[in-house]
Amino acid sequence: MTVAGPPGIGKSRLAGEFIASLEGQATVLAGRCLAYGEGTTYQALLDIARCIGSRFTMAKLVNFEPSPP
Amino acid sequence: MVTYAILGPVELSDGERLVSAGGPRQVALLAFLLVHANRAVSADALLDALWGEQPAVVGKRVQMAIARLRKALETAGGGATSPLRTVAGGYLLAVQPGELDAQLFEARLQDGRSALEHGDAPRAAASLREALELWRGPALADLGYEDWARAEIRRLEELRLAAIECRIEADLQCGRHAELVAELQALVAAHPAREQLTEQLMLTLYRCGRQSEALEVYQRTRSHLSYELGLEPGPGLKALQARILAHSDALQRGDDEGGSSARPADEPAASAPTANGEPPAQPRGYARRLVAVLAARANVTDPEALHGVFDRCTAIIEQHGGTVERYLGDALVGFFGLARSNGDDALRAASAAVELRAATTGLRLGIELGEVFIETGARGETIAVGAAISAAGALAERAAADEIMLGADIAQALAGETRVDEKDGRLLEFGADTPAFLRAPQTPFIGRTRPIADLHAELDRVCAQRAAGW
Repeated sequence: MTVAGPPGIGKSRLAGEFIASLEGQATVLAGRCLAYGEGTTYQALLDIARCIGSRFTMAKLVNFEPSPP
Repeated sequence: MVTYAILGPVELSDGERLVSAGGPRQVALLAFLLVHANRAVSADALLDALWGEQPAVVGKRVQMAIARLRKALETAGGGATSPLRTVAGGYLLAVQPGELDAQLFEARLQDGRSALEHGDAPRAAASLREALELWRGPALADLGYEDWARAEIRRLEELRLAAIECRIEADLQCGRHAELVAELQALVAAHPAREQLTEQLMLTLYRCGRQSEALEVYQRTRSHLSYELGLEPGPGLKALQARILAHSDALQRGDDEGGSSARPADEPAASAPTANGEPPAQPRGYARRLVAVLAARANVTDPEALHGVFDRCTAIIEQHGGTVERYLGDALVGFFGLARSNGDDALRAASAAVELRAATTGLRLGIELGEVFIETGARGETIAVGAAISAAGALAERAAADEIMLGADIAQALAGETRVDEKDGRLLEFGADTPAFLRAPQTPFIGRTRPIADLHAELDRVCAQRAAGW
């Protein structure tokens, strides 16, 4: 689902409120694109990856071994 | 002597008094002939320009209008032979040097320009003033809506602006900056895209001791260019801003050479493109940027061992996209976002600091965020100055072993990701939590129940579909 609207109308706030209302019901991964700066094309994806990283620390990801079937 | 004026409403005079050329059509005819002075104009061209497409009706009218204009010109010329001649294929208005104000203007402008080029600013200023005094209003004022007049009006107005820029340049070189501020402010407001005028206003303000206003003008012009046209200011304007920030001596030269177009010889050349063909991040060698600074001090006494520690630290900082610009005694200073902003430089600095602490025992670390001014030298070396650098150094100095201290600005930027001791800025906890923009602020959220309900309905639908085996 996409929330679209002119700048300043409150898209981020709406997303924030929605996520706050989901407290404990869902895993939320969030990323943001900056309106300025260079070399930030994949910023949003990077943010999302970071959200995962905070839940399962990088060490766990590195040491992850699939359990035998 | 007959004189003609087109720098304003079109006028014909006998040298002392105005002579009426006749009605609007007569005036337009005179203007058309003046714009094409000393060149033959065909009767067809006259017809097209002044009467439009109705040749059958108006064929005779051209001859009548020409005859009436001849009379007016004879009155103005005091009985001398008429300058309006019938030539093969049409008519020609012979204009002698000094009779037409536009020609006088262009001659004076030329004088002024060459005087300025030869370094005679006072003479240039005088010539250009004379040139500009010939203007009485918008060029060909009564003919602004005529198609044929537009190109000439544009050309004359362009020359007028050029003359004004030149005159201001000459005045600046004469050290008259105090008188120019008001005039330049009005000109810049009217012509925001003329970067030379903007440069002159910045230089003038700077010389009047108003450097902050000079920099404001730059920012305004920059945002205008970027908003309206998606452009960056030209190299001249950027260089001037950098020299104002650096308080370059070249800006103060008032009475001798060294106006806004003069460039100091010692200015660093544009840096060469990098090896991988990417354009240089800093084409002119100066930049002002928000960066995160990391300072580290090690409690290692042996200098060689210290160097080893710093080598390892540098590797970690570089992994996080930072650069280490210098070692200073037993301190190391790293920057994030120096060459170009990463958008998350505060976070990078904090991550690097946490990793440094884990990798090396006994490090004392300080990080801060702030604006720095960066100069890139001819060989690519950078010098950065700014309060954030010494602030980070002082924080590292205050930190105990294995401790990270955050400055006030970086602590605020990382409010969502870190927990910081409120009293001394010591880092207590660090981890990428929910990004700051998604944490609901404390102010109440009013009147958006419908969109929130829609989002919930959609979420429920998605969940139901998943449960049904989608």
